Amino acid sequence: MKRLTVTLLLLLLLAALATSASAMEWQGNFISDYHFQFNEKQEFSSGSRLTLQPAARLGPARFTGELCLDLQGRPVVASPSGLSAYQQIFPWELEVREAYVEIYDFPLNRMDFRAGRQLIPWGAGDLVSPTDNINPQDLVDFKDFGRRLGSDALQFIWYPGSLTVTAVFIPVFTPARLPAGWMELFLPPELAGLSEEAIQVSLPATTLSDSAFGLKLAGRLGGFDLSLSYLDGRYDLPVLETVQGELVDPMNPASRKWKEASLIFPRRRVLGVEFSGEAGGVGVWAEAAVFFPDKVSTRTKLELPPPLPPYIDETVVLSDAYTKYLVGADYNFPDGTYFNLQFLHGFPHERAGKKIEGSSFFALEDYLLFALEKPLLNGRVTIVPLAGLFAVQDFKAISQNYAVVLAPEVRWSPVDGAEFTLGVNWMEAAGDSLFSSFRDQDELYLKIKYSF
Amino acid sequence: MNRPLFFFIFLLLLPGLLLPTVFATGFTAEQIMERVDQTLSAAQDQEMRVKLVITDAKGNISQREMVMMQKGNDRRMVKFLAPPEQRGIAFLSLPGGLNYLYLPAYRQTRRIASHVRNQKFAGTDFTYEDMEARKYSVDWEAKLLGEEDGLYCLELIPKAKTNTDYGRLVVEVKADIFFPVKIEFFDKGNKPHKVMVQDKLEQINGYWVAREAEMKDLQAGTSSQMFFTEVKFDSGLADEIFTERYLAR
Repeated sequence: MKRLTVTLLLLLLLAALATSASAMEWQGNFISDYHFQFNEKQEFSSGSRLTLQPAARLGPARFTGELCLDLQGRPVVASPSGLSAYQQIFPWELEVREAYVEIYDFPLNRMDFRAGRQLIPWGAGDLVSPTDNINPQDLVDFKDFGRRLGSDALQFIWYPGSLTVTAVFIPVFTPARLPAGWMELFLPPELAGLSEEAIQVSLPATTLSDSAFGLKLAGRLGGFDLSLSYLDGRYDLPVLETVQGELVDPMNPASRKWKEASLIFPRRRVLGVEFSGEAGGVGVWAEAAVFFPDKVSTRTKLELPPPLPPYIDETVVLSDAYTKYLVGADYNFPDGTYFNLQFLHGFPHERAGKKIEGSSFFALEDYLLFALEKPLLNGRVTIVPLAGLFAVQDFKAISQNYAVVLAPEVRWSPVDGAEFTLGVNWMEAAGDSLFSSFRDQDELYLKIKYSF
Repeated sequence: MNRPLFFFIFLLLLPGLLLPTVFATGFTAEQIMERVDQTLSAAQDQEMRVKLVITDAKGNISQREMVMMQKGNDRRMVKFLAPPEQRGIAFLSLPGGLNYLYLPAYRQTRRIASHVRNQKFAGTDFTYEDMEARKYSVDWEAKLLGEEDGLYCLELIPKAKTNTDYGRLVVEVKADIFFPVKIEFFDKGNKPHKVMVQDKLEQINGYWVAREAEMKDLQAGTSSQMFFTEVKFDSGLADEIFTERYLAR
C-alpha cells in the first residue's frame, strides 16, 4: 500500500511537472523479455520493463529523470488470499533510477551543480570498471552486470581550463540490491539456512562521518585522456561481522548449529587512475583502483555444553589494501566488424581478504571479456557471434576452477525504434566461483525493445 | 621527331611540368582549395538543423534529425534529436583529430579512436571522418584536372600526415563562389566508394550554404540525403559549446 501511495505521488508530481513546464519532454523505451532455460529445468520466465525518461529545461537549469517500471511475468501467489491480490498475480516494481536537477554555472562560473538521485559512472572500462564505485550495484539480474542503482548525491563538476574536477557528496549510504535468495550465494552454506529474523543487517548511521565523498581530476596528457580519483565510502555488499551458535557435541564439529548473525557494510577508500586513447589506431584503455578497507573481523561465538566456556574466534577478513585493474582494447575493421577485448582483475562484486569457508565472495578473480559484432544490411541487423567472458581463480589449476560464459545474439531492427534480440546464455564452470552458481541456467532469450 | 624539335616542345612544356597547373583563371589547385576552405569557414560559426533520410539497398527508408554546430573549420558538434533510440547521442570533433562521443545510455563520454573514423555515423552513409571539421587545403594535396561549365575539377590526394580512409577525392568546385558541389570518394584500392552532391545553394547573411546534400555509397547501394533548415551564421556560439561539458546537455 505504501509503495502504491509513493508511486501515485510520484506520478502526480511528474504530471504536475509535465503540465507546468511546457519544456518537459519524455522519451523512453519498453522491453519485453522472454527466457527459456533449456537445461534440465526447461522453465520459461518473462518480464517487461517500461523506462520513462522525463527532461525539462528552464533557463540554465535542467531536470532529468529515469523511472523503470518492472512488470514481472511470474505470479507470486503463495496463499489463498493471494489469488485475489492483483499485486501478487501481476507483481511489479517501480524504480526511480534517476531524478535530479542540474544547474549550469552554479555556484561558480564554469561549474555545474547536480542534486538528486543520479548515476555517476566513473572509469574507462566497457561495462565493468574497477574505479566505478559510487553507485551501488544492482545485482537482481546478475547477467545484466554493470547495472547500477542511482545515488542520492550532490555533485559539482568544475571545468577550469582544460581540466575537469568532479566532487561528489553522498550523505546517506545505500546498499547494493541483491537477487532473491542472495544468502545462498553470498553467505557460507550453514548460515544461508538461518531465518530472516536471525540475520541482522546493520546499515551505517546517517551522520556526517558515515557519509561518502569522492573527488576526480581529469585532463589530457600526451594524446591520452587521464584521470585520478579518490572515493571515501563503503562497500555496498555486506560483510559478516558476528555469527553465533552452539556446538551440541564438542567432539563433533558437524553438530554446530548457527542461531544468529550480523552483517555490516565496512568503510573503504579507493584511489583510482584511468587512461584512454589510442595506440597504432587501436582504441586502448586501462584503469586501476587501490582499495584501502577498514579492518574488519568476523567474530564467531559457539556455546558449548556446560561447564565448558564458549568458543570464541576472531578472524580478520578485511584489512590489507588490494588492487583491481582492467586493460582493454577495441578495434573497428573496415567492413564494420567490431572487436572488444578486456582483461579484468576483480569483478565489481569481488574483494580481497580472507575467504569465509563455502563463500565465493572474497576472491579476486581474473577475467577475459570479449565481444565481436558485425553489422549487416545497413545496420538493420547486428550479429554477435562471440561475446562473453572467461574467468579463472587459479591459473595453476584451471580445470578445477574456471567459468566460461558465452552469449551470442542477433539483433534485428525492422523499423526505426523497434529491435528484436534473440540470443543464448551458455555457461560452463567448475569450482565455487559465483558464476558457477549459474551453470545450470543456460537459456535462450528473446527481447523486444521499442524506443519512443 | 627530330631532336631539336623535341627539345623545343620540351622547353614549351617545362613550366607546366615544373609548376602547379594553372588554368585560364589563374588559380592554382592549392589556391582553389584554400578559397574553398575560406568559403566553407567564412562565418565565425554556423548552426543548423539537419534532417537525414537514409535509403538502404532495398529502398527502405529511415530518418534521423540532428543539430549541427561548427566554429571556424576545426570544431564541430553534432547532436541527434531523433529517432528516439538515438536521441541525445552527441559527437564532438576537435582539432588534432580528437573526437568524442556521448552515449546517453551509458551517461558517459567516450574518446573515439581513429579506427572508428571509417565507420558509418549513426547508420548513415557519412562516416565519422566525413563528420569531422577539416581543412581540405591542409590535409590534401590538390591537383587541378580541368575547368568546365563554371566548375573546377580537382583531384585530392591525402598528404603523408593525413589520417584518412580514402585513397583520393575528386572534387567539383563552383568556380564563381568556390563552393564544392560534388565530391567523389575513392577507397585506397582506387575503387569508387561514395559520391556526395551538394545542391540548392543559397546565400544567407552573405555566406553560401547548400540546403541539400546527398551521399551515395556506390559499393553498398545505399544513400543518405541531408536537408538543412534553420541555418544560422555568426550567432556567437561560445567556445564552451565545443567541449565535453556540453556533449551531455
